[in-house]
This record gives sequence, structure tokens and C-alpha cells, in this order.
Amino acid sequence: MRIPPSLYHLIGRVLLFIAIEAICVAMVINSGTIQQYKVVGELRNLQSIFWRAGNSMREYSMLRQINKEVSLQNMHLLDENTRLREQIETLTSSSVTDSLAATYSQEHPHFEYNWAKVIKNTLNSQHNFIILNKGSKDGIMVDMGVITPTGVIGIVRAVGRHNAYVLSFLNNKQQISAKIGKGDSFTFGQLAWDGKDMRYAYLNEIPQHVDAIPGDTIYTSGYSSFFPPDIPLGIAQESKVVNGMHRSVKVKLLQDFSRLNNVFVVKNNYHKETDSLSTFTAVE
Amino acid sequence: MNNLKYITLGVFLILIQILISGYINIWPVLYIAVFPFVIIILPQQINKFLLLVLAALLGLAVDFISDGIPGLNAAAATALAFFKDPILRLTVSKTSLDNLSGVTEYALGSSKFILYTVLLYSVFFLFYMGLDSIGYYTFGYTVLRFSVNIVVNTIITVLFGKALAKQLFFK
Repeated sequence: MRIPPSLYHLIGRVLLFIAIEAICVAMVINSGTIQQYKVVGELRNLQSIFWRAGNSMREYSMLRQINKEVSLQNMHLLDENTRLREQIETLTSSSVTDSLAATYSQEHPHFEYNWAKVIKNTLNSQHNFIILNKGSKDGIMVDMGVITPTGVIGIVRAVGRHNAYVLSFLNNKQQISAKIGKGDSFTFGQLAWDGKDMRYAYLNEIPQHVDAIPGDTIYTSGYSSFFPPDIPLGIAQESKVVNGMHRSVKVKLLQDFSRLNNVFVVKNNYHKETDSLSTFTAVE
Repeated sequence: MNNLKYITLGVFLILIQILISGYINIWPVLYIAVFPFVIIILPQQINKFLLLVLAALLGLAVDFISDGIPGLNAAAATALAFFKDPILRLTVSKTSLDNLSGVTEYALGSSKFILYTVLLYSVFFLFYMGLDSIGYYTFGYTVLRFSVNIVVNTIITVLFGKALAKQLFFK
């Protein structure tokens, strides 16, 4: 029986289709956005010129709002400054019995902060990212956390000389260790964005017997080596039990991602040490 | 000349796609994909092997230049190109297919073109969302995302076809 040429044609097409799909799937699985940044690093550098121009225009149109935010931040900083001065005075004048308080104030000296400006911030995808105007020449390194006074923004995943690529919290691959509660009674969970609304996230893996009271503040737990503890992340809304196992709390984020301008890049001086210890434990 | 107008359209759509991906924030659920328009309207006489390769390259260009994950748009666009011919045969009768000058709303008629576009975008988003986040979201959310994207992109494609293709390319 003679096989018609159209069948060869069809088989050829199917094979080519499978081959292209296989390549694409391999790229999706192996590459991810981080590798994309590396592969097209030069292209991103070129694009950053346009992003900077676009960002300048956006900032100009938002000057009134930015001024308001800066004033508000100044107010908070002045408050904090006054409070810290008072603490220093108290500590220096008090005896050794106050050493616990002193320890508390110096609890996280291993975190350093580096200011940076956002020059690109995507919001309309499931895999959002942020580009900062600082890179390796400014001391920015991979795996540094990025925060503002009102939330966690993301984690630095790739660094160029002048720019850094941050995997935004608004990304379905990103989770933050967080806690909810008051006083000394905190419950820990994972805060993740659900991909629907950039104003809300969900605090998952909370034991179902824990009552999450609407209005409670959610903070970073400090379990992550990327972020210092006690950064306010959001306010608890309603909660529900998921799969009969855990409670999931809807969280209204304090940080408005659409108005992101200035951020702090966090360097944890003990990051490598923590990592090596984790590896050591895993090997053991 | 014909090839040139499709190449021009392809480049134009990539630029539009970059603008949409970078600067238009409507809803994270919604992914406006305008670049498949050129694959949708390419004449059915085009070499099918070439169509697959062109679709993959177009998708890769969008992946790399705009904000996507490399391979995501390429996989979806290749699938769309692969199923273009069977879907067209399903939508249009054999006799009409033989006399078809181009795959546009102008040539197919509104209802058939909408059905053809809906089916092609279904394939596109099946692959796109499957690779993007399979198993990550709930069934309800996946259905919502799938439906919203197909409806919105079909409307855009039909409007695009009316405004651009008919006026500039297929008069």
C-alpha cells in the first residue's frame, strides 16, 4: 500500500510541532524570568533608558502625591528619631539591669539598608518584576530583600552593573514568611499573592483553631534571611478554612504597588552563614 | 508585496504587545494578546511548516522583548498555528475554503470569523495558562481567567480586524 504524501506531510508537521513545544516547555521550566534577564541583559540595559524616561514622566505627574508621601515618611522618621533618642538616653543612663532592652534595640544590627529607585514595575501579569536603578556597582547583590516602610516588595534575583532585577511579591512564585497576632502570641504562616488583585494577598497555613481577627496587623516573621522581622505587611480581613486543614486569611496590603517609587534594598550580613548552616543541617 | 504587509503587521503587533505588556495595567487576570492576530489572518495557503516556525519566532520575540517568561508565548503561538488549519476546516465548508482569499472577517463573515477566533484563542490560552500555572490556581479561577481572556481577546481581534486589516491591508 502506498502512503499518500499528505500523510508524510501531516506526520512532519506533528513532529515539528512536538519538537517546538518541547523546546518551549524546556525553556519555561529551565529558564524562568531570572535567566531571561541574564540572556537579554544587554537588551534590558537598552530598555532601561526608555524605562527611566517613562518613569521620569510618571514621577512628574505624581509629584503632588510623592510630596505628600515624603512628608508623611518624614513625620514618621521624626517620630522614630525622637523615640530612639529617648531610648538612647534611657539606656545610657540606666544600669546593667537594662541590658535586655539594650539587646532588643540592637537585635538586628546585621541588616543594612540601601536606598534605590524603581525604574520599571510591572503589575499586569502573574509574574511581575521590578527593575531598580542600582546594581552591582552600588553594592546590590542577588538574594537581597527589597522593602518599604509599609511592606515587602520582593527579592533581588539578578544584578547588572547599573540595574537590579527584583522578583516582585506580586508573583505566583513568591511567598513571604509572616506572622499574625498581638503581644507575644503570634501565629506564623506564608503570605502569598493570589494573582487576582494587587491590593490583597493571603496568609496561608495558619492552624484552623487560630482566630484571625479582622483588623490584626500582619508582620514579617523574621524566619526568612531576606527580610528583617516586624515589617508591617497588611491588615487581616476575613478568613476561611481551606481543605479542612488550615486557615487562609485575606490580607489588605499596606503597600500600594501601583505607587512604588523608592525602596530599600536589605542586606543581611549573616545571609551566607545562615545558608551554609541550612546546607550543613540538610547534609547531616 | 503580500509578504511585506504581513511582516509589517507582525512587527507592528509586537510593538503594540510591548506597549500593552509594559504600560497597560487593567487586571492581572487579563492578558491582552494582540500578536496572534497576524497568525490568525495569515492566508491558509501558507506553508504549514513555515507557519509553525514563524509563530514560534513571533512568540519568542514577544517573550524576550516584553515581560514574559521565555517559551510561554512561543508555545502558545505555535499551538495556535498548528491548530489554525484544522479549526479553519471545522469552521468553513470545503467549497468555501477553496475560494477563500484570506482568513479575515471580511472573507469569512462575522459569525464564522468570531467562532474561528474563539477556537484559536482557546487553543492559545490552553497552552499559555497550562504552562504558566497549571495546578497552581483553583478550577474556578482558571475557568474565569480562561473565559475572560478568550472573550476580551476575541473582541479585540474582531475590532482590530475591522479597524486595521480591512482598512489598511485588505481593501
